[in-house]
Amino acid sequence: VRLDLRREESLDTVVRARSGDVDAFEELVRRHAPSAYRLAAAIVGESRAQDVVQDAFLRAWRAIRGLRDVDRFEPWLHRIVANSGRSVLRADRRVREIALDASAVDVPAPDDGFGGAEARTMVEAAFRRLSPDHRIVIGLHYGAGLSIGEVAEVLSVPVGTTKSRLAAALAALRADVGAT
Amino acid sequence: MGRQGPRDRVDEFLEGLGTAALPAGLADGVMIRVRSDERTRRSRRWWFVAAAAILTLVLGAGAAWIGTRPPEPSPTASLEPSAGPTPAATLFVRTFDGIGCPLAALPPGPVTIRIDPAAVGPDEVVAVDANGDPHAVFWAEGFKGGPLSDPVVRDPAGEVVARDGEQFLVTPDDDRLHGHLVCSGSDNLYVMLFGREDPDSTTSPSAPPATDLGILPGTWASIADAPIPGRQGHTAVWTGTEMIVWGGEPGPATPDEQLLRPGGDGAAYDPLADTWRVLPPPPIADRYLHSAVWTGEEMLVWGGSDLRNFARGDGAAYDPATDSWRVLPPPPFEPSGRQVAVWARARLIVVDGNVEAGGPVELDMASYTPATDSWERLPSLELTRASGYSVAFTGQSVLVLVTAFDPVAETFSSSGYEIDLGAVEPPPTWTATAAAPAVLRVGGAELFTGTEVLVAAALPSGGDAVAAFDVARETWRIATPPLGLGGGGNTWTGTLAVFGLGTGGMDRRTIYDPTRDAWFGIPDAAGIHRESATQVWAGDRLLLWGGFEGESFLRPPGGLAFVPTALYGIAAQASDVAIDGARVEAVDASGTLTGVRTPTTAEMEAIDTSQLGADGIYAMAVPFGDRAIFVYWIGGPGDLAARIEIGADGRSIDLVAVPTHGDAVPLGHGVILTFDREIPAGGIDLSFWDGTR
Repeated sequence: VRLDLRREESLDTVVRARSGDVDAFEELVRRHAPSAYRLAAAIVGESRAQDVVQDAFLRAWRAIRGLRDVDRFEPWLHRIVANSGRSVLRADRRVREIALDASAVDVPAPDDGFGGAEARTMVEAAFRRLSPDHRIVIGLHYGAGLSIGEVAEVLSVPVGTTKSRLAAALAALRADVGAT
Repeated sequence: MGRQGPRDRVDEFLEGLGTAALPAGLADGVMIRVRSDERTRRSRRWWFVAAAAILTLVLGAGAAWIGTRPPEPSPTASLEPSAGPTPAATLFVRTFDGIGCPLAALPPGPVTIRIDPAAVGPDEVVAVDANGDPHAVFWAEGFKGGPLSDPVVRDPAGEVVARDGEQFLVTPDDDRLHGHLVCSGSDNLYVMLFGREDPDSTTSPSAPPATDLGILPGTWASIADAPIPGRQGHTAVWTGTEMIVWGGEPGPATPDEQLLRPGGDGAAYDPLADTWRVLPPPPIADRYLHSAVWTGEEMLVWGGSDLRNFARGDGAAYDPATDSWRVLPPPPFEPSGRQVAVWARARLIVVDGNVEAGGPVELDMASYTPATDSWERLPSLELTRASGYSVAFTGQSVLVLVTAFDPVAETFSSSGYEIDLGAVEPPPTWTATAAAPAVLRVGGAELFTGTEVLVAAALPSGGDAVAAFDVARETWRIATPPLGLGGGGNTWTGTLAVFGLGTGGMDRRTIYDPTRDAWFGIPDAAGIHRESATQVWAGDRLLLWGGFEGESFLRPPGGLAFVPTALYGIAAQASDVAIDGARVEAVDASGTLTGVRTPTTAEMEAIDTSQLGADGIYAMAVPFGDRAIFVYWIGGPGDLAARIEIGADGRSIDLVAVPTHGDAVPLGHGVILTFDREIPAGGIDLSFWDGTR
C-alpha cells in the first residue's frame, strides 16, 4: 500500500509539473537527480556530469508539457540524460591517444572527467575508448542501476537487443583491458 | 594479495559506476536554470503581445493625432540627424497612408531620426527632424502583455508609463531602449523603429537574450537511401554538384543490429538526379570524427580516430573527377593528440596538440599544399594552460580560440591567437587577440562568415553560446542561441550559420544570422526524427544525412532535404516572438546595414499593387534594401494566405496562414521576408487570398 501511495504521489507530481508547476518539477528534480547524476557520470565522467544533468533537466522542463505517458517519466528522463551525455561526447570531437606505431601502445589517457592522472586506471581508459552507445548501455545498467528491462525501455529497444548490446559492451571492455 | 585479472578489474570498475555521489547544490543549480528559463519563456510571450499591442497603440494614436491636428506640409527630403548621441534604434521607416499620409508626399532617399536629448521634455515630443519638426515616439520597453482593450504601456515593475494615445519619454542613453521596439508617428509621417544593439558595445558572457525569429517556412523531402549504412561521426562536404559523405560510425539501422566499427566507406549524392554512387575504398585506415574539406577539386580527409579510438595523424585526398584516392604525405611533426584541419584558400592547415590534460601544451601547426603535394611547418603556439581549442581561417590569418580551466581558482578563461599566413618579412608569428569571453566546450574547425569567426561553445554559467570574433575590428562578442545549439557539425551557407540541424524532438533555433544577431529554426520534418546529422548547403537547400533517430539511436541510411521558401521569414505565431528585437534592417546584397530608407513613390507604385475585394483588405509591400520586403495588410481575417512570385522564373512562395498576427492585431497583419537573393528588377508579384483557394 505504501508503494502504491508513493507511486500515486509521484504521478501526481509529474502531472502537476506537466501542467507547468515549477515547484512540482523541483520535486522531480530532487527525486531523480541522484540516478540522473550516476548515469551522466558513467557516460561522460564526473567532472562533466553536472553539466549534463543540468542540461538534461532543463530539456526535460521544456519538453515535459508534451510528455504523454506520465507513468514513464523516469525512463523518459533517463533517455534525455543519455542523449545529453551522447551530445557531450559527440561535441568533444575528441581524440584520445595517438597510435605511435602498429602496436598501438596505450599512452596515459587524457582526462575527460574520470579523475586525475594518479587515479586513472587502465579500465577507465578502456571504458573511455568504448563507443558512446556502449558507454550508455553500461551507464544505464551499472551507473543508474536500471534492470535490463528498464534499460530496454529507456533505449526503446527489445530486451534481447539490450542484453546483446550490454554483452557486447562488456566484452569489448574486457577485451581491451585484457589486451592492455 | 595476488594481482587482479582483467575480469576483476572490470567488475570493480563497474561497481564503482553506481557510487557516484550527487554533488551538493546540483539540484539547486538545476532549479535556478529552470526558473530562469521559465521567466525567459514568459518574457518572450509578453513580447509577442507587446509587439502586437504596440501596433495597435500606434495605429490608434496616429489616428487620434490625425483627428486633433490639421495636416501639415510634407516633410523635407530627409530627416537629418540632430545633435546628440545616436540612439541604439533605427530600422525602417514607413509612411502609412492608412492614417492619411499621401504617397506622393513621401520623401525620397534615406530618412534618419535621432533622438535629441535637448528636445526631450515631459509632455513634449522627443524626436525632431532637420527642420525641427517634432515626431512623437512611442516606447515599447517594459511593455507588459495584457488585453488589447487596455492598451497601457507599463514599465518592468508594472507601473503605467503611458496610456493609449499618450506620448512618453525616451532618452538616447536609456539602456532600456536597446533591442526593443520604438514607434514614432506624426500626422504625416509614420515611423517604426526597431532597436538594435550598439555595434560598439563590448560583449560579455552575460549577453542579452537572443533574438528568436521563429520557424523558417520551407518544405522537407526525403532523399534516396544511401548505398552505405547510416552513421555518425562522419563528414560531409559539398562539391558544387554532389554531397560526399565519408567515414564515421555506421549502423545499426534496426533495433536488432549491432553497432558497426568505424568505417572507411563513403558515397556521393547528386541532388538533381536524387542518386548515390559509392566511393572506392580509401588508401587509409577506417576512422571517425575526422576532418574533411573541399578544395575545389578534391575532398581532403585528415585525422580522426581509428577502430581503437587512437588518433590518426594521416589523411587522403579523393578526386571526384577521377573517382580515385591518393594518400597525403606525412606531416612535419609527430602527432601528439587531437588534430584540427581547416581549409585556407589553397592549403590545408593542420593544428595538433594534446589539451586533454588541461595543462601546458604546445600546439603544432603545419600546412599542406595540394598543388605541390608538400607540407610546410608553421610556428607553434605555446600555451601555459589549455583544455580545448578551435581553429578557423579568416581569409588571411589562422585564428585559434583556446579555453582553459584553472583548477585552483575554479574559473574558466579563453584566449584568442592569430597568425598571419601571408606574412613573409618578418615571418609570421602568433599574436594575442583582444580579450576573449570565457567559454568552454570548444573544439574543431569553425565557421568564417567573411567578417567574423563563429565558434560554437558553451558558457561557464551554463547554456550554449557562439563566440564571434570580428576580424577587422578585432573584437569578440557572444551570441546566445535561445534554445541551444544542435549537434552534427556546423555549416555556413554564405549568409547563415547552421549549428547542427536535427529534426524532431526538441524545438530548435540553431540557424544564426550573424548580420542581424538573430536565430531561427525550421519546421520539423513530419514523422522523421533525426539528430546529429551532418548537413551541407547545396546552393538552395540543406541536405542532411546520417545521425540517429531521436531516442532510438538507430542510424538509418536515408537523408533529407530542406528547401526554404525564403531565407527566413518572421512567422508571427501566437507562441513566438514576432517583432520584438527582430532587428529588421535595411541591408544591401552583402548583408551590410544600409540604414533606414523610405521607398520611393515609384517603388511603392511598382510593388504596392494588391488590393482585394469587397472585404476591404488593403495590402502593402515595402522593400528593405534589395533582398527584403515588409508586407503589411489591413482588414480581413488574420488567417490570410499569401503567394509571392519572384522574378521571371516564376519562383513561387506560398505562405499559408503563416505571416499573420492572428487576432492579436485586429487592425493589421504583417510579415517581413528576407530572401536569399536580390529581388529582381522586375519586382515581386504579391497576391493575397483568404486561404481557401
